[in-house]
Amino acid sequence: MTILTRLIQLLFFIVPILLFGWLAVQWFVPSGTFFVAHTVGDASPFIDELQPSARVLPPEDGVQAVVGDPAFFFVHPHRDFERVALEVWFQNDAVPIVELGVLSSVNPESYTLLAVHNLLIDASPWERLEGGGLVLLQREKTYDSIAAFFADPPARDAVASYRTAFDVPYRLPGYAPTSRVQTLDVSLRGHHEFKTYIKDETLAFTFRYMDMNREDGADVVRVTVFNESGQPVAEVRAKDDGNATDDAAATGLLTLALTAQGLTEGVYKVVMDTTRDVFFRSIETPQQKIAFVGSVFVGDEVGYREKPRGATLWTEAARVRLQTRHAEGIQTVRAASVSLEISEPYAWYVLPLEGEGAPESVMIPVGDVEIVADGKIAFSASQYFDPDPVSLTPYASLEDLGVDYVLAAYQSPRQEGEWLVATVAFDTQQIYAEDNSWKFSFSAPGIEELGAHFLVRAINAWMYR
Amino acid sequence: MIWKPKTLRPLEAIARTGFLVSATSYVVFWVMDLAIPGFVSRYFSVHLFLLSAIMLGLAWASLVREYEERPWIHTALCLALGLLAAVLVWKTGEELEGYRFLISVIALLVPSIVYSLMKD
Repeated sequence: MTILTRLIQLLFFIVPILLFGWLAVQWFVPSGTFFVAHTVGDASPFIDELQPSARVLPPEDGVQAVVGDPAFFFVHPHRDFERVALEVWFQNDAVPIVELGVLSSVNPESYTLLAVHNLLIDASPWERLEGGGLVLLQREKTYDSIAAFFADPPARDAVASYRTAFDVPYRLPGYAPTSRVQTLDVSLRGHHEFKTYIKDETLAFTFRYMDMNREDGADVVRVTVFNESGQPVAEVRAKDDGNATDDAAATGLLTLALTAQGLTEGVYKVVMDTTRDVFFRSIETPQQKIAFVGSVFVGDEVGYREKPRGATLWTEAARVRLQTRHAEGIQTVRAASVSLEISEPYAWYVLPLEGEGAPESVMIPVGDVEIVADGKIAFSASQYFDPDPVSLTPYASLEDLGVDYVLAAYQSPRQEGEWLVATVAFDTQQIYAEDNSWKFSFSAPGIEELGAHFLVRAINAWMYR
Repeated sequence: MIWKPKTLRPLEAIARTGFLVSATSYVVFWVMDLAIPGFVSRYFSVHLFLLSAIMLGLAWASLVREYEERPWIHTALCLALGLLAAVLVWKTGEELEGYRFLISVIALLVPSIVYSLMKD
């Protein structure tokens, strides 16, 4: 047999052995870093296309336009990793804030969001200081460094923050505790978070709720109180009612009481953590300030009241977004100066309000509505307060915010030719994985109202073992 | 000399090696992909080895001059294929419920039955 024959036979053996070795390297990642490059429009076993089609345009020449909020995609890691960094190549000259988030929990669904592009900061003519992952903008140059800013911080309401905390504690001057118990007589469905103020008093909340058993699964209720440092200081739990089916057999009114004594003066966050099967029908408390954070879900009152009462809420937000999921939730919502018809289930409606100044009332006549506000929400004018620093929103310019400083945890994207490149990193411990897939979502609030879009060319991933 | 090594023509030897390596690779890579989903299929189709095995097998069949009976290889292949078929039926046959075990046993025996019919 000739040498050539032997060589060809050897080649037949070597090719699969080399292939197997290469596949083993891909799997075990001996270097510790696995890199995936993905240009939009190209098929990839690791990174899916942007969805849904209603919020993204079809890819053209390796570029895809995002026109709605949110637009999401899935990443499919082939093994366990500790950290993942995504690099986004994009162009954006109209969307004020673009963020990339990862699904970190379900029921309720929540995302850990990080900044990709903040035009409010990058396009601002204010004095800019950078350091330690922070950006400080100053209307007039007062500080020479970020350290000097923290050493002698300005008044709390002179600072707008973005994705970081401004640690000057909020205090209500002239606040005095009272023993008068107030009742929030409103049906709140599922997970909620609110802030309250404590000074020389016992924190006390009595929740009355019903487990409506409309969806499969146990419905545990856990209420936790966090102090200004984010540490839990009190907690109370209630087990499921024993019915984990979706037979819609509701319980009667159940009670969960939470008290915490000896708390120091300050703002406390209360997290009502439960499933959408649980409807809080009332909350009794001697606390005077109760402001819900981000969103509330005014639930239906089927099986509770013959005629739904809905709710009246108060907010200083410049706009609230509303959605119902049922035909029974179709209604006309009324604010002081404007009304809005919710005429179709599963559509988000925007109710523009007066904004900053004084809380404005919004009347929800029927309920069964999810409400998202870029501010706090209270269920009476006297309970309203906003203990958080002014936040950057896509709806207000820096001039409109009435602040002199902006403090942000933000790194501007780098320029690569005609593209901007931003990198955001997530710890995989904070990622909710289903079927070994991670869900990422671009958040671009206001993109539809502004008629704006941004272009994505590539999403690359570094996964660290 | 009590035995003499079998000599093959170069093309026949190449086709034979190619077929055997391709067929073995197909089984090994396919089993790896079953054990670790995506191990191979994220990068290329495991069926490329099957395509290669079929083409080289046909080439070998057209080039071979003398056939040799190797009953122990046939028996081993029947057993291996039967085991593979039984495992596949068992793993994917949850909906068969009460018939799952019976059909897995039948799958185990099918290659041996087909082989005995072919021999007859």
